[in-house]
Amino acid sequence: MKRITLPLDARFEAWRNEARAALAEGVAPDRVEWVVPDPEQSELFASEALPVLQGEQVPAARASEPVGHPVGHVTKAALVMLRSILRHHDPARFALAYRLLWRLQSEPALLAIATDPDIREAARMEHQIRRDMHKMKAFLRFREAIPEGGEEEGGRRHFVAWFEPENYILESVAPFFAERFSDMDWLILTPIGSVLHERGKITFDTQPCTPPAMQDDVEALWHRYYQSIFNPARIKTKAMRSEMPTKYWKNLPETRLIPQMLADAEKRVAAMVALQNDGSAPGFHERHQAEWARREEASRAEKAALDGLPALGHALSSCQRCSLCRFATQVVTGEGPEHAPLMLIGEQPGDQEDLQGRPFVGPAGQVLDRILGEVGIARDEVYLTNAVKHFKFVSKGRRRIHQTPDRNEIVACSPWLEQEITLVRPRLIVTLGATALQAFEGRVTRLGVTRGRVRQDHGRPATLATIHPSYLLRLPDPQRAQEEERRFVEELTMAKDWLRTG
Amino acid sequence: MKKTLAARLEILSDAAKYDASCASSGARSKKKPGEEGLGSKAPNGICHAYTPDGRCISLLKILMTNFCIYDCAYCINRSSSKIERTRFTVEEIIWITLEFYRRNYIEGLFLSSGVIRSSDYTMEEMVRVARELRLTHHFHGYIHLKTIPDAAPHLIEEAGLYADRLSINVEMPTEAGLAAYAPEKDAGHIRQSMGSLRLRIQEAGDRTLSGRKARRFAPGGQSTQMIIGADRSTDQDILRSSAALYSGYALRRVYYSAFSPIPDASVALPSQAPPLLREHRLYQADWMVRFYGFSFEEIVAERQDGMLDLELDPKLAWALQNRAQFPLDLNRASREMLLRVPGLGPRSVSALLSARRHKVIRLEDVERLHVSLRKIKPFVVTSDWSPGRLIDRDNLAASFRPQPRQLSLL
Repeated sequence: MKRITLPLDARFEAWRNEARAALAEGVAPDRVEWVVPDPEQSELFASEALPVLQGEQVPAARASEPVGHPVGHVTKAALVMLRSILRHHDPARFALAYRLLWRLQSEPALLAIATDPDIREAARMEHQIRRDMHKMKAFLRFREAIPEGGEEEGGRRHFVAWFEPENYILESVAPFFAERFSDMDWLILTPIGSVLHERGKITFDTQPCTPPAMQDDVEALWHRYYQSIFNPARIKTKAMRSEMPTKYWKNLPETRLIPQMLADAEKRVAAMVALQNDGSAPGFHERHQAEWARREEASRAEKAALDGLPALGHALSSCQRCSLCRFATQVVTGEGPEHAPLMLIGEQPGDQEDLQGRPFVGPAGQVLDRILGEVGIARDEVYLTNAVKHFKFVSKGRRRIHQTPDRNEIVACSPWLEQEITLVRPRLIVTLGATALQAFEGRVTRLGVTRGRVRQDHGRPATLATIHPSYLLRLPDPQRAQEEERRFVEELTMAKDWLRTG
Repeated sequence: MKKTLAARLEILSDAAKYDASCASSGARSKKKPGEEGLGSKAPNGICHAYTPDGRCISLLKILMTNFCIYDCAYCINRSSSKIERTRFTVEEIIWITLEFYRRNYIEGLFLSSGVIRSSDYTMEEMVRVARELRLTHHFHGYIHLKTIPDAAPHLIEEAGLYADRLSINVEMPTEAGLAAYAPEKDAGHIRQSMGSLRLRIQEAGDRTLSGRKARRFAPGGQSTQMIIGADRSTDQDILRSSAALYSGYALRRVYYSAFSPIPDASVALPSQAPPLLREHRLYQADWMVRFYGFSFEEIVAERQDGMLDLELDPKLAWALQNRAQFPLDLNRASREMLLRVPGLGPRSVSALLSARRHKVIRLEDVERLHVSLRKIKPFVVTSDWSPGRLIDRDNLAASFRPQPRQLSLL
C-alpha cells in the first residue's frame, strides 16, 4: 500500500505531482491511500508534519522520471474535470481524481459515460462547486468602509465582504468580482483566505480570516426594499429555501426580517381584502376619466370625418368577422393610389406583413417587386391587397407557419375586398394564386384552366388570373421554378399590355 | 411634507411587486478589458436574494411613479385607487441603483412606471434614467425597461439602445379580458408594439449589408406578463396566447402571474387567494414547450374543461394520456421521444444518449442520474426492465396522484 499525504487544502498542482509519480510507478488506485493530516495533530506536530505533506514516500519515481517523458495521458476535457474537482472540499477528491486518471489510461471513452459511478461522483462534485461559486456571486454582500477622516478626495471607494464558501473557489470567482467591481477597491474575507482588489490588482492570501465588524447605512434601505417587494398573499417558503438554503442566512442580514414578514402576512392580506374599494376615488381620477372621454370623442370625430379608402382602413382595423383577428398582430389593409388602374390581389398577409402592417413586404413580396420591375410596372402605381386581411398561421415553437385560409374566412373577408374594388375602380384586377381567384369569383375555380387570359364579365372589372409569387419560392426543382417564373412574367406583361392598349 | 427616500422606496417597490419578471438573463457583457465603469452581466442572470413568496430578487424592481392616468381594474396603481401616491426623481433612481449594485444586492434595474401626463413624457423620463446610468455613470449592469406601448418610436429606439431588455405586458390572456378590465388599453396596440420590437431586435442581431454590426437594440430580448385567475380564461386560452406570443414576437419569456389581492381592490375582481398551483402548472407547461419539444395544443388537448390537471405535473399527465407511445426503449429511442418520458430532463437525456454509445443502459444507470425510478418505470424499457402490463393498469394515474387524506372529524 502506498500512502500519500496531502494537506486538506491541496489543489490540483500538489495532487498532480503525487498522482504522476504513482501512475509512473504503476500503482493501482486500490493500492494507494490518500491521507489528509488531522488538523489537530498537524497543529501539535506542526514542525514535523510539514515535510511529510510533500509525500510520505521517497519520490523515487519522480527522480527517475525522464525529463519530457509524459506520464500517462489525458484529454483536455478530462484535465478540465480533474482541475475542477480538486477544488472540492471533500478529501475523498484525491482518491477519486486518481481513480479517474488511472481508468482514463485504459478507458478513453470514460468521460462520455455519465452513468458510471466515478463519473457520476465527479459530476456531483463539479455541480456542487459550480453552485458554490454561483451562490458566492449571489449572496456575498459588500459593506462600505469609509476611511477615518472622511473620504479621500477623488479616491476610490473601499468595500469589505465576508463570505463562507464550502470549496476552494476563491481563485475561480475572483475574476468575476474584479470585472464587475473594477472601479472600487474591495476585500473579500473568508475562513480559507482572502482576496484583495486594489487599483485593479488582485492579491490572494491563504491566511484564514474572521468576520469583520462593520456598519453600512445603505443596508437599512435595502431591508426596506426587501420587505416591500415581498407579496404577503403568496407564501412559498419552500421555493425560497431551496434557492436560498438556510445555511447562507447567517451572512444575509435581510433574512432576519423573514419571521416577522411571515408573521404579518396573513394580517396584511386580510386588511387588503377588507379594504375593497368603496366606490370613492381620488380627485384626479375624475379628471383622468374626463380626459379619456374627451380623447375617445375626438378620435370618434376624426374617424367620422374620414372618407374613401382611409375610412375603409379604419373600419377594417377592428374587424372581428372571423377568428383570425384573435392571434394576428394587426389587419393589413390594401396599399396604393385611390384610383389605380391595376389592382393585385394576393392571398393573405404573411409573417412579415403581419408585423409591419403592410402588404407584400415579406419574401413573396420581394419576388413580386423584382418581377414587377422586370415587367416594367411601378409598384407605387398599383393597388396591392389581399383576399384575407389577417394572417392565418399555426405556432410551431418560435415560428409561425402559414396556413391557407378556409372558405369561411374568405367569405367573411370578401365584403372588404368588394368595398376596395368599388372604391378604387381598377380597370384590371390580377388575382395572384387560388385563394385570390376564389375570393374574386365567389367560388372555387381551377387556376390551371383560368389563368393567363384577360376575362371580362358584364358589370365587373376585367380580370386576369395568375400564380402567387410565393409559389415560385416553394418549388423545389429550379428548372420548374424558372419555367413558372417565365410564365408569371408573361402574364404580368399581358396585364400591362392590356392596360396600355385595351 | 415630502416623504423620505426610504418611505418612497417602500411605496414604489410595493407597487412594482405584481410584475413577476425579475430575470437578468440573456445579455452579454460588453466591457472590454481595461474599460472602466461599474458592473457586468452574467449570461444566465443571478438571483441575489429570495423573499418568502418564493420569488427572487435579481433586479431593483421599482416604479418611477405610481400616479397613473389609466384605470385598469387589476392594477394597484389604477387611477381610482386610494393608495398613497409618490414619485422618484431620475437622480434618486440612479443613486439607489448604483449604491445597491456596489453592495452586490442586485444585478441591475427593472424600471416601470405609471403613465403620467402622456406616454411620451413618461417614456422620456424612463429613458433618461437608462441613458444617464450608461453614459454619465458608465454603468454596465442590467437594465430592463417597461415600454409604454404608444410612446413615440424615437423613444423606443433610444430605450433599446440603453436597455438590455424591454417588455410590454399583455396583462390579460385574451383580448376580451383586456377590454373588460382595462377599457383604455388596446390589445391590438400592444401586439403591434411587440411586433415592432421583434423586428428591431432581429434587425440589431443581423449584420448590416456592409458587414458592420447594426445599432444595439435590447440584446436581452423582450418579455411579457399575463395575469392568471382574474378573468375567466382557461389554461387552454392562456397557452394558446402564449403560443402566439412566442412564435409571433420572439419573446424570451412569458410570465404568468397569479392574480393576488391588492389593497383597495376594484369590486370587479375576485378577492381570493392567488391560484399559485395553477400558476406553477402553467410554468411547467411553458417549460415543456420551450425545452421539451411539446406544442401547447397537445398539452391540454385531452382536457375537456381546458384546464391543466392540478394534481399531476403536465408532462406526466400527457404521458398517462398517451400511453400508446410508451414504453420507450432507453437504449434506442430518439432524443425527441426521450424528452417526453416523465422524469427525464434535457440533461439526463443527453447523459443517456452519450452513455449508450459505450454501454447498454440498465435500470441502475438511470438511477445514478438521479432520475425518479418510481416515475419513469412504467414508461421505459431497459436491458433488465420491462414494465409489462404496468403501463396499461387503470390505477396507474391514481398511483401518481396525491394520497387522499381522510378529513379529520375534529
